[in-house]
This record gives sequence, C-alpha cells and structure tokens, in this order.
Amino acid sequence: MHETEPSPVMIRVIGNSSPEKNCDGEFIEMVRGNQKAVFTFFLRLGASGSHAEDLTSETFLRAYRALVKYSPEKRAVLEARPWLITIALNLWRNHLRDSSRQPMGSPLEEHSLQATTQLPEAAAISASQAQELSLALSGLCESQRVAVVLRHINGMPYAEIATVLKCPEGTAKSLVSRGVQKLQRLLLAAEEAK
Amino acid sequence: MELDAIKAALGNLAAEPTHDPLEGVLTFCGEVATPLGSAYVAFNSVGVIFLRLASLYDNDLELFCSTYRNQWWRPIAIADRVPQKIASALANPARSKLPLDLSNLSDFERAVLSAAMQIPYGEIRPYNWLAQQVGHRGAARATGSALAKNPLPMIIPCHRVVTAAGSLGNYIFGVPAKELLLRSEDVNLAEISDLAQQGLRFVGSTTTRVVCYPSCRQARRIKAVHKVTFSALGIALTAGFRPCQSCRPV
Repeated sequence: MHETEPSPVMIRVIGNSSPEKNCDGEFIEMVRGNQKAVFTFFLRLGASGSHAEDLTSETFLRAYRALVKYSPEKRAVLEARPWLITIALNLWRNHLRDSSRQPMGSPLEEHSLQATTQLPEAAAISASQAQELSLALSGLCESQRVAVVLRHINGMPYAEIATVLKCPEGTAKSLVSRGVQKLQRLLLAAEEAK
Repeated sequence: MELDAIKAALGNLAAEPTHDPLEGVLTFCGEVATPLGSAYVAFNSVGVIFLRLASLYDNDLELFCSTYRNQWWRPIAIADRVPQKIASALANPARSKLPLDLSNLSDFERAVLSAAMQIPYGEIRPYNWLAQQVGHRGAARATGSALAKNPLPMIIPCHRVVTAAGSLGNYIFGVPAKELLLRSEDVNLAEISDLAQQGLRFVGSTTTRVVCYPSCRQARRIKAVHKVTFSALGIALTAGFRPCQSCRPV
C-alpha cells in the first residue's frame, strides 16, 4: 500500500499575517485526516483510480475555497468529514450529470485491479471477491450505495451519514441495512449465474 | 455470503490514493534571483505559476503568499528551498524551458501569453501583431490587458511586446526594466526608435522583396544599400514586397 507522505519537513505553513483568511495549516491537516475517506468514497462510487484522484483533489480545492470564506468560529465547529463527503457527493453528482451523454464503459475494470494491489495482506479477501463486491455495489441505487460505502467501507457513524444524505438517522440506518441485504442478493445471483 | 461476512469484506475495500491529493491543490513558493533582482516564485508539481519581484511586496514573502491566496483562492506554503531547476532557469528566464502551469487563467489570457512565447529572443512585436496571432484583429488593447496580468513575466516574454507606433509601451515592472531586458537581448532599440520618429515601422530588402519588422533577424541582415523603409505594411505590399514568414508583419 502506498504511503502518502505528509511533508512537514518540506513545507512551512505560513504564519498568521491575516488570521481570518489564513487557514492553510488547518486545511493541510484536514486533507491528511480525510484523504483516504474521500478517495475511497469516489473509488467505490464507481470512479476509476486516476479519476478518483482527480476528484479527490478537486474536492479539497473546493473545500479550501469555501473554508477561506468561513469565520474562525465557524471553522472551529465544522465537522470536517461529513462536510467533505457532502462536497464530494455533489461533485460526483455533477460529474454523472455532465457525463450522462457519453457514458464511460464499465468503470469497474480499472479500480478492481487497484483493489487487488491495495488490499492489506492479512485481512485479505481474494481479488475476485473484491471485484464481485465492487460489481455488486454498482447494482445499488445511489442513496443505498452511498450509505453502504460510508458505513461499511469508510466506517462512518450513522449521524454523519445522515448529514451527508440529508435524512434522519433512522433513514440512514435503513438505507445501509437494505443496501447490504441487496448486496447479498446480488452476490447470490452472480454466484448462480456462474 | 453471510451478511456479516459481506460487511467485513466491504471493510477491506478502503484505499489510499496513490498520489498525494495535495499535489494538485497546494502551491509552494520561495525566493529566487532574476536579471531584474530578487523575486518570489510560486510553483507546484506541474510547473511555475506566478513570478513577481520581491520589491513589489516590501521583500515580504508572506505578503506575496497572502496576495497569491486572495487572487487565486488556492492554498500556498513556503518551500524550504526552491528546486534547483527552477532557481537556475530563473537566472536566465528569457531562455528558460521551464514547464508552466497556466490553469488559473482564462482561455483568452492563455492564448495571448502563448502567442507572446512565440516571439523570438532579441525581437519585438507590436500589440496588434499579438491580437492578430490570437485571432482577434482589433483586440490590441485587450491583449495589452492580458499581458499586464502576465503571471510569469520574463519567462513569458511580454517585454517583447511594444506599441505599433514604436514606443516601448508599458511594463509590469516599469518601462526602465522593460528596456533593460530588451537591451540584454541585444534588440536594436536605437535603430527602431530612429525609424519610429520618422513614422517608419517596417523595413524591406530590395534583393529579396521581403518586408519585416525592424527587429526581425531577417531584417537585421539586410545591407544598408538594399534596405528600404515603409510607414505601413500596405505600402510595401503595393510596391510588390511580400510579408516575411519569420516575423509575419501585420
């Protein structure tokens, strides 16, 4: 697995010449703490590996541009992860809308390959299993898919998922549980089709 | 598969990005030496983005950073050191082959600056020539505005663009700096200004019947006995001269 290097040696974050606008230090921390969650989110929603990386960078750039407009008080109480995932989801929806006229083949091939290289060896599930799961995930409707990815792949609490999906926590729970049940049916159907 | 097994398997699908996502977002900056003195340069993994003389910011790199941040809305951090490749290229920016990141600019600004890059070392062109190159004949003033915002002066040679009347025009770091840069490139400024005072803007050769801008390297090879001058391109064309393919006068 690739280690992304937080590079504190390389950079010095700028001092507070204008504290109300300068949030670069906070921002870098925010990126480091959430890059895996945001990247995984795009990847498991169906973006290819390199596309997911572009979308991840774009998400953080948008976050930065919003962040500089926030007051320090607002930034202090901001819950970074659900906020970032909300930006990511909007970006993903925009992307789907823009590319709806020219659908990209199956986005699954490239990143299923990635999945095999990035799996932690000990907890290993087989490559083919990961691919089957990815494929089954693409059979879910958007809200179920988002809910399942956030809950079981990113390990986010239901409260945060509810924030992202703008629904009550109970709804988030049921989206996750129905999503997983549907995954089970899809996996079973795939099994029988073989 | 059991539900619990599915949940556990899902947990293994999380992945780290292969490239640092900050790479595409964060800009670095530092101080470099240029022919016009000490300057601040902003760069990222793609290339150089923004260059300004340190004196414009009271020699305060943090002031440069906050200006950059407010202008482009991008995070910026001070690099421990500017990469050697960038530092040495900026010692002689007019000949630099540095990769540029112009993604912050509008299409028109990018087109104007790319056209300015085509002006050879040691030659100058009027603003209307630049407008013609980007396909907007009448937009000489607009090209001037785009050049005034040149994020990479010296590297993108906006100092090689002058007025059609023959004066040097404006420059982001002041006209004396523009003159200094052009002299260091050995542009025949004295001759050009002599001609301009007589209202002459083009020179031709009676042997080749080609008409050029006076700074064109083809024009500078014309011997005095064969040299003719024109106040307008139309006059030269009517007299049977053809425009030089190297400087493409308009």
